[in-house]
Amino acid sequence: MSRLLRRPSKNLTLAGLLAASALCSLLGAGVSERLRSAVGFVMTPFGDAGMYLATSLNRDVRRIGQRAISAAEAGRLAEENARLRRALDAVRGELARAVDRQAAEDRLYRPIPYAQWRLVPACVVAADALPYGKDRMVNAGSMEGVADGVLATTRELITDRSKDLPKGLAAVNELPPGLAETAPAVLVGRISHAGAHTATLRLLADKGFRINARIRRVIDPASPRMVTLTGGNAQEALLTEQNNVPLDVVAIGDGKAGLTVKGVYAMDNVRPGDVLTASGKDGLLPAEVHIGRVVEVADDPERRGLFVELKVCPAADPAALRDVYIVVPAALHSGQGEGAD
Amino acid sequence: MRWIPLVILAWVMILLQTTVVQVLTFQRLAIGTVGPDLLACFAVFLALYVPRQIDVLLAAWVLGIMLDLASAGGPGGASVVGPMAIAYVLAAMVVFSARDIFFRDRAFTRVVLTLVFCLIAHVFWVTLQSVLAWRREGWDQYGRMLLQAGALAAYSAAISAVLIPLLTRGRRWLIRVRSGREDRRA
Repeated sequence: MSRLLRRPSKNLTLAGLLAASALCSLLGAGVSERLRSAVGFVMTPFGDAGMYLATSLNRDVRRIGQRAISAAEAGRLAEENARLRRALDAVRGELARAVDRQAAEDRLYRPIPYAQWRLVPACVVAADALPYGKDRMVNAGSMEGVADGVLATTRELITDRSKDLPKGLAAVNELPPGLAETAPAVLVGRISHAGAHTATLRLLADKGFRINARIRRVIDPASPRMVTLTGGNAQEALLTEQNNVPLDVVAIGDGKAGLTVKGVYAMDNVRPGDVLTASGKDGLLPAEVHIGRVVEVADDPERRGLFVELKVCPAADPAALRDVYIVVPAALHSGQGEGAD
Repeated sequence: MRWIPLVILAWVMILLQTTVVQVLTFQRLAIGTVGPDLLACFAVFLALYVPRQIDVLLAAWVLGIMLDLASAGGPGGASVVGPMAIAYVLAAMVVFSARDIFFRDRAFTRVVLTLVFCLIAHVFWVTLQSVLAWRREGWDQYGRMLLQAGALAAYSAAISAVLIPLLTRGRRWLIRVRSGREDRRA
């Protein structure tokens, strides 16, 4: 009995730990995700500052390499800025009048609640420790309404934390008057696992990422393109606004830095520069959100001549990714996010 | 071995690896992302200077499991927890056995041993994760990930030339020097 109660030797401890590791490996990804969520709280509070530093540095380093603008370009930009500022003032005046009008109408008519999607703001607090996957940990979880499988977009504001922020700006859904988001949102990835207060965000380039998407062909008058129209009898025609239908495809992360799209008809004449957007058909996004641009069109090695394979470069830069919106459809957040609401 | 400072330092290093080290990571290479493995440098430092093998192996397991818990991605999507802990123990065993044939205070030794450590640990990890994920994804990414592991090993080896001397300066906080009598009792 006393032998059993004695502290186990280090050799025995190591053997036990290795056996536990082997067992955990065999139990599969589900158990591993739960374990990671359980220890996520030790990373979240401290990871935020580190990620802020890393993403800011990455962004600044990238700017250093960019070409400096000439004096003429600077003058033109200043002129354009002044013109835009005047236009903004005019729009602000119109907006103020519209808000007054709306307030008057709201007093007359009962507002109808209409919120099919909710945007949950979150920060990237940690990246994957190993470079083989493309995952990020974000500081919002199921308590905030985040669920497995929902999508996330970029979130860029006109100001940053280094400046003196008006009170309440942290709750981004309640932006004070005069402040607005400037950058259009682009898709960054999908939540692969949501813990209580943290979630794992799988980026677009990850091998496990897959999404129903659309290719929007860009019409460039300087370089017109011929496509084969298939409605009725097939015929070649110039691509125009009228016959430029979006092409439904499935995009898959290539595990490196971009996405791959297979099964695109060669006769659709997709070119580098065309735009890939999320289809929005699955109800996870309210609109066609921008994903990236086609950078390479190659023959499909399995069906040469008939189909092409596309390489897409994501619009979001993973190295500078810090703030995201997690887009939660109403059907999901009504069931799970009561704690946060 | 002083276990509490070791765990605290390991936690700080994993925090650095998942945040600030992203600055040192090359994101858009043809073989994928390549960054250094700070914890491997730490494990090599322990394998070089901790007197008892069992302490080195236990510390390597701790570092490996921390790395496993802090990385969710792998071949074909999600990775499982456990393989890196086993891989670190194996690699630490090899480095510990080899340390007597090197002059451990030389930069060359540290670089070579870190390279060997990373190659063993990461090739083992990539192989095991690919085996466990074969139903989902198959082996189409295996070759590329091995190249990635090789690049990571070379990068970590280069970083170790700076990191291990820094760790060596704080050696007494991590490694308890035992008296001869204590050693005999142990």
